[in-house]
Amino acid sequence: MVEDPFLQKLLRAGPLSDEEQAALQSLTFNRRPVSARCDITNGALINGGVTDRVYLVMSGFACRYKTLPNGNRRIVSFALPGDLCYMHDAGPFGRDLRVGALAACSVADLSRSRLTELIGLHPGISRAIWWVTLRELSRAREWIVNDTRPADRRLAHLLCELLICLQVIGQADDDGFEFPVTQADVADTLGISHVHINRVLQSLRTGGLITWSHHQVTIPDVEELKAFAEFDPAYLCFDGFEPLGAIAAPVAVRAGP
Amino acid sequence: MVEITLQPVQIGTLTADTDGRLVFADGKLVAVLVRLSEELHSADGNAGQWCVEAGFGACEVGMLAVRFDSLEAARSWVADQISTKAPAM
Repeated sequence: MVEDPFLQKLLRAGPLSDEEQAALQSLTFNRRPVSARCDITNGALINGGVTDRVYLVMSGFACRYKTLPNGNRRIVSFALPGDLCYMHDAGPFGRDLRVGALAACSVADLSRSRLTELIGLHPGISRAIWWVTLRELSRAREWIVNDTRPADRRLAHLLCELLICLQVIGQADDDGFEFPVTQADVADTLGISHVHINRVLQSLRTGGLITWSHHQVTIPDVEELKAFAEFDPAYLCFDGFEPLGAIAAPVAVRAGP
Repeated sequence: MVEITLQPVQIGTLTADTDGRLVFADGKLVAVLVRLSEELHSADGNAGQWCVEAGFGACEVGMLAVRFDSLEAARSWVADQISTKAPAM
């Protein structure tokens, strides 16, 4: 069993040779703690600073977020142990999105140029990083769709996603997980007001779908919650890529009359 | 000067947050206020406040929890929104 959450996750994309695994593990340096409510960048990143760093969350609970001029914060995704941050944000287009620790985190820095070099050298690493990218896009799409659901189903969907993602890295039980964030964090994730979240949580509690106390979420009947949330984990891409043979060969198209 | 009137109403939120007010500006519904119940909001220290549950036109609030300590404060806010955001006639 691989202990490193980064490798645990990347191995979902397909096999990595021993050499590739060692190369990936040699990428991380400067492992450091980040306090809750602090950004995980080390100062050089924001305001257009050019950086060679990619950040890897090793433990804890972080989020990618953006704050509007009126002070509203929207959390657009979570960054869990094993997740890379700012991987594609070397250019100015990613600078408005910040990454903050919701709970205390341990973060490792990676050299972007070294990572790029490894992608060029190792097909397994190339495939794994490509998978990470596609997966992020797939999840972002699902979050947009999830916004169209009523708030109680939206929250249920989020909890189902977290359950699966944390199980993959061995940080959730069959029926629950530690969820060290505030209700306001969840409201900012779902795009509902800090008042409304109280009602949504009570609705799921009284429906017997979840309990959440002392930072622990418990789901008495996971299948029932998944059904309520209309949750299909396929978008999380944990089954890797389709085997090559499953991709249909191009079919010659005959010209029309 | 726009005339703001408040009409008590019960809101079916399926929670203890049921005490509400319809807010009319010159006879037009512009907001629905709800009084935050002790049962749900005492832990946040917000119980007893009035929150904009829904707003229309000038009173639309998006996902912001716009809250007031009193109905008078809410009334002033509505009047202010209407006067600053109303389209020129």
